[in-house]
This record gives sequence, C-alpha cells and structure tokens, in this order.
Amino acid sequence: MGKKILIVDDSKTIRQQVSFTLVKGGFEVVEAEDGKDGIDKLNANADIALIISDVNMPNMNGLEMIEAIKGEGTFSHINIIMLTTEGTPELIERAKSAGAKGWLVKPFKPEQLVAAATKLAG
Amino acid sequence: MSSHNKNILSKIVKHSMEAFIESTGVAGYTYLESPQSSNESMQVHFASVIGFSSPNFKGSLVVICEPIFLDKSHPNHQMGMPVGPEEIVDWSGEVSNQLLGRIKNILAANDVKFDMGTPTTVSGKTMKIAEPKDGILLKLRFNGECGPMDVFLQAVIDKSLSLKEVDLEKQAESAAVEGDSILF
Repeated sequence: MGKKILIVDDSKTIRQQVSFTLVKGGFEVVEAEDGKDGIDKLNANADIALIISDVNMPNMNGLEMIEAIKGEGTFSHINIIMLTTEGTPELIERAKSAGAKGWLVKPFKPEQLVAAATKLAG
Repeated sequence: MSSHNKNILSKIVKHSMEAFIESTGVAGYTYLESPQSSNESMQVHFASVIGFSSPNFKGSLVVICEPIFLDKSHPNHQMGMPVGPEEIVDWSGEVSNQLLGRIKNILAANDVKFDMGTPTTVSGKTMKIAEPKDGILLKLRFNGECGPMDVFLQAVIDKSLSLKEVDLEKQAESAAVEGDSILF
C-alpha cells in the first residue's frame, strides 16, 4: 500500500484528476471539498503523509487551512503542497511563510505532481 | 484612462483565453473581432461567474460555453472516466477559475493584485450583462468547432491606476505559470 495523500479542492474535476494521477503513481488518496473538510479528513486519517490543496475554496481556503494545521500542532509535521491557478510571488511567499513546502500551478503536469509528492510524502 | 486600461485588459483577457483553450486540446477556436452587443440576449447553456476584489481593481468574470465544449475539453476523457451532467457543471466553474488565474498572473506584472472568489455556474436560456456605471465591460467572443464561447469582464478600476503594456510572452517572469512546480 502506498503512502496516503489528502487532496483538498472544491472542484470535483480537479480532485478526480489529482487522484487518478497519484493512484497511478502508487499512492493512496483521500479527498476533501474545502479546508474545513480537509481538517476533518485529517482527523479521521492519522496516517496521511502529505496534503495537496487548492487555495481558493469556500468555507475555509487553503491558506487558512495551512495556518490551522501548523498552529494546532498534532499534524504540523505533515508537508503541504499548494495546487492552484495562481502564481503571484506574494501569494507563493504567503503560503511558504504559513508552512507550505511546494507550489504547483494548474493545469499541472502529471509527472511533476508525482515527483513532488514522492519527494515530500517522506 | 478608461479606454487605455480597457484596451490593455482586453489584450490580456484575449491572450489568457486563447492560452486556456489551447491547454484543453480542443482545436479550431479563433477570436472574433466583432463580438455581440452587451445588450443582446444570448442563448446560454452554462455560464460560470467568478468575482475578484482589491482596493483598486474589482469586478467579475463570466464565461459562457456550449455543453459540447465543456464535454470535449473535460480532463476526465484523458483518464478514461465518464463525463456526466455533474462533471460538466463542475468543469464550467473551473474554466472561469483557471481563466481568472491566468489573468491575475499577467496583471501581477502591472502591480495589480486582487483576491479571487470561488466560481458559481448557472444555466438558462438567455442572459444580459449590463455595463457597470463607473467601470468597464469587456466582451470577447471566440468561435470554434464546439460552438461560440463568450467572455465578459466587468471591472471597476481605480482612477489612479494606469495599466502599462505587458509583453504577454514574457509574463512568466513575473509569476509562476501553468505546469510550474516550485518546492521550498
């Protein structure tokens, strides 16, 4: 069984695309629809090795989710990669400061996603 | 100032939409120089709307596509997965999200920064978009093998903001672009 990755995105299309790519790359996946759902799924799956998250989402966005995870402590060791359409230096820096370990711009290249996941899933 | 900003924004939206269409792999789309009037009622199947906001640049982006384009361009086809009505609606929202993301990345070179909302998709038979009282309304139409696509950008731009011409091919220097992977 491969390492478990949590995918957080409000678009079902993107979740399916990311899941398909990661499962093909040998990972196990769990999906969440927004940051709040992501934290719930994290609490229900203690073996999650990596989080891949969108930025703009309803209820709780990706940056708010990182801040909540890194601030809480229990799951602060888990690496987080942001996967979004945006690529402005300010937003990337904000994510980095909040504790993200990577930034991928949609539409993503499958081989880059798998390479980044392999490196950061520990 | 308004006409100057409108011309530059129009080039950015056109470039971004062409790049998005190219990324979907659906061929044969061209930009029409004479889009329809904003007051004309259009036949609508799916329209996705996404808002954006900052102190000096705020408004919304609307993308109208035929269901056949949304079906043909849907990423599920590349994975051998089915595309049903739910997938079409979801992908419609992602189209406006990805288009606005591209526009935002280019505008970063102009020091225009804004927060993006989350997309909403609506469907219906006709739609009218009004010109904002103190802003601009861009109307761009593209036509191709999967029917017409209309893009509307409604924006209120601060009077002090004057956009400068951007080399669209070199904009990658000011922001990460599609497919980029950065590990910290």
